[in-house]
Amino acid sequence: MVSIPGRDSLSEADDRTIASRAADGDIRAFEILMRRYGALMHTYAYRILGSTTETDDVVQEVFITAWQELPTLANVAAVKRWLVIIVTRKSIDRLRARRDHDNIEDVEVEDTGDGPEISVAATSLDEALSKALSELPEDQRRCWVLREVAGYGYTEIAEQLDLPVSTVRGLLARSRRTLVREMEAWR
Amino acid sequence: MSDSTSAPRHEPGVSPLEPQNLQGHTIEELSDYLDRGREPRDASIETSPGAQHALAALSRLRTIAPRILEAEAKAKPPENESWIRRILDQIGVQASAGRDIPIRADVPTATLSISEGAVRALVREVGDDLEGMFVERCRLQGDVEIAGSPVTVTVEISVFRGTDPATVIEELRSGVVDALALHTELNVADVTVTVRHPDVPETEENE
Repeated sequence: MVSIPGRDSLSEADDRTIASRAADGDIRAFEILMRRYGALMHTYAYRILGSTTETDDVVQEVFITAWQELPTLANVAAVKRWLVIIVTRKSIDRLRARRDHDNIEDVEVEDTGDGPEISVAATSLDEALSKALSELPEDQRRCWVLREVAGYGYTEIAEQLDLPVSTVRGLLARSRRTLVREMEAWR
Repeated sequence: MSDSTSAPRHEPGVSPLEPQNLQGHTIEELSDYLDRGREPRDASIETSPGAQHALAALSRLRTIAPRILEAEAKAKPPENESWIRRILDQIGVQASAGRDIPIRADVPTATLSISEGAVRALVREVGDDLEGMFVERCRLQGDVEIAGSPVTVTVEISVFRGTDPATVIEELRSGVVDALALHTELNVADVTVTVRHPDVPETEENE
C-alpha cells in the first residue's frame, strides 16, 4: 500500500502541490520550485537576452516576483507556464532598458553564439537544433523564441522589440528556414 | 532518424523551405496559413506538393520548439547554491507574516505575539508528519488579533492514492488542535479540512 511521509516526498510532489504550498508561504516549497525551474528560466532569459551577464539578475527578479505574486495565481498547476511568462516579460523589459539606455558601450553583450552547455558535435535532434538556434543572428533567435516558445503574436513581438511587423515576419522566415534545414538533416 | 553517432546529412537544396522547393509560395505566407489553422482552404497551397512539404516541416518544427529549450535546461548543471541562498534570503525578509496573534506574557509590560504565517507553518508541519497527504493551504478565520476570540482553522489538503481520506482528515484535525494548543493561545472553535485533490498518484510527471 502507498505510504508517503509528506516531509520526505515534498521534493517529488507535483507542481500543483508545490506551488500551492509556496503560495501558502512555505519557503521550502518555493525553494523546490526554484531548483525545478531555475535552469529553464536561465535558458529562456539567455535565449532572449543573448547575454549571460544579465541572466542571473533577470532570473533572480523572476523568482522574487513569483514569490510575491504566487498567492494571486488562480491555477497553481500551471505554475511552469506562468514562470515562463514572467521570465519572458522580465527579459524583454531588460532589453528595452538596454535600448533606452542608448549607450552601447555600457552594456556587455556576449554574442558568442554557443551557450556554454552545448558540445561541438550534436548527437541528437534536440541538441542539433539547440546548436542551430545558438548560431542564429541574435534578432532572429529572439523573434523565434518569442513566437514559437513563448507564443507571442507578430504584432506583440514587433511592439516589444520595437521593430516593424514586416521585419519580424522576415526574421522569423529566415530563422525557420535555417532551423528546418537542420531538422531535416536529422530525418 | 539518424543514429546517434553519424553526422547529419547536409545536402544542399533538399530542405523543404529552400526557395526552389516552395513552388512560388513564401515561408511567410505558409506560416500565416498554418497559424490560421489552414482556413480558409487555399487550393494553390493544398495542391502544391512543395507547399505541403513545407507546411509539414513548419508544423514539425513548431512541435519540437518547446523541447529545444527544455533540453538545454536539462543539460545545464544544477543551480548554484549561493545563488539560491541569495534569493531565499531576499524573499525571507519580505515573507508575508500576516496578522499578529497575541500570546500572554508573564511580565505585564511585555507584549508577545506569534505571526499568522508561523501558525500556518505549524499546521503544514502537522500534515507533513502524517502519511499519505499534504497540506496545501491553511487559513485562519476570526479575530485572531483579539485574545480569546473564536477562530476557525480551514485546511486544504491533497490525499495520495491508496490513502483513506477520512482517516487522514481525523488525524490531521486532532494533530492541528494539539499543536495549536501547545504552541499558541488561539481559541480554536473548529478545524475544517477540505480535500482538494483526493487521488494524487504517488509520483507525478512535473508537467
